[in-house]
Amino acid sequence: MSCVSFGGEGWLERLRAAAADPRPVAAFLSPEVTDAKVRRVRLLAESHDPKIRESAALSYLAPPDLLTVLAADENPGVRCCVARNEHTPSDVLELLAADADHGVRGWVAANPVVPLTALELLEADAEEMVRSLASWARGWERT
Amino acid sequence: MSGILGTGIEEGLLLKPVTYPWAMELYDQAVANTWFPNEIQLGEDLGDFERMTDEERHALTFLMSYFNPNELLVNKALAFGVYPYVNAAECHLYLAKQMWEEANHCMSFEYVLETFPIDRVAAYESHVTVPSMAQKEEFEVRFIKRMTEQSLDITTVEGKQDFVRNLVAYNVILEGIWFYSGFMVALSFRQRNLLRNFGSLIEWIVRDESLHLKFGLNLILTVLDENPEIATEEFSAEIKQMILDAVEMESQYNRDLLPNGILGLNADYINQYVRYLADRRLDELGFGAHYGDVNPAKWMATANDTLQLVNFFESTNTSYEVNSRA
Repeated sequence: MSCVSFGGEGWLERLRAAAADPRPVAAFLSPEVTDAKVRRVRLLAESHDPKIRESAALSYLAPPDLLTVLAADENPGVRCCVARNEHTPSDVLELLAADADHGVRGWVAANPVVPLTALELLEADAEEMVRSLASWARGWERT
Repeated sequence: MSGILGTGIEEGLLLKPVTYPWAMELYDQAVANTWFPNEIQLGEDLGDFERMTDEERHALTFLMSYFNPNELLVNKALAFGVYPYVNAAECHLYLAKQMWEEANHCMSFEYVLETFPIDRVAAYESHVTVPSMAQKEEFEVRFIKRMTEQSLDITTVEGKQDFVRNLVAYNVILEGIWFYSGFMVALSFRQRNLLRNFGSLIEWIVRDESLHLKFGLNLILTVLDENPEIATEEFSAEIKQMILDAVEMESQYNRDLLPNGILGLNADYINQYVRYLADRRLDELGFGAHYGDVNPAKWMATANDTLQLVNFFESTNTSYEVNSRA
């Protein structure tokens, strides 16, 4: 029925054979984290373009000291990205939980690694959106 | 250089001076956004997957079924229908990065398929058994195929119109409407406190896709600006109709694949979001909104098609119907 090539016995046979492939995609590790890569993220963080600084702030390779610097960025979009990053240290998230921008505080609440102390603070936030996010975040199972 | 369109192999080989700074800016942003699927620990979501209902697993399965081949279809549209006809080095840089991103998305979905116990045969079956899925693919393939025909001459009005048709089909419709409809369903798992790492993976993809959209729309608008003779009333009406037809196709597809509602969503809810998206795309192309629907998924509210937090989880406690028939 489809105009693109899908299915068929030949495909099924190859798919069954591939089930024994010892090289699943999941086995392909991300390229090694090198000093050069971290230096690149530091350079991105110095860009005059806030969109590029946002990328640095979202990077899983951004080291804690850099995330701390970016948490004080003048652009709220950059601070939102620090708040979203699951590798942002707890103390930085706690700092951002008191950010002047409610969007930043909201992303702290939505961060799966938000510290409980920050979450409690956000549950009493002046903005309803932040409070509802904090309430939603309570629904996650925490280890 | 006479404009953004051209097929000469010998031309467009020097980056400086940059003629289209918007392409260079998007390239810079795209490179800064570089990520790899395995940076996200999908395995941590396995517990959620095991707790999910059959319907929720079905939703994840058909999302993978839809996205994976279509990411590669976008690459064909770029390789056959865009890259050969664009003559600006900065655009080639961006397109090369975009093509890698589509490959990276394909690998991301493979990562999902390998991590969760998803039956691939069942996942891809819908391409063969669901007519509305096949109809969407036929629609895309028709425009890409035209770009590969020897008779296409990009220097003519007809050739330029074919170029724009292909761009509208793969960029505005496939990436800008149909993919976003799928993203909304994908992110609704997280809204229900499920599959947070999968949600992060989708967020990375949405971030890339938002740039793809910007590039495609800028390219269309530049071609129209440089070649005003192609924007006849008849052609404009045809482009608008393509988008309206695409909305109908997507609506039927959602009705076929979500007959009973899942994840607190039903086809009506998703289709309202599809019409809202279509209005945005029509507006970006200068047509103005057609449907006038409001965004039902405020948690997907966007200022620039990247995820924003404004009302992000607003619908958590709203009463849109669960399991109601579409």
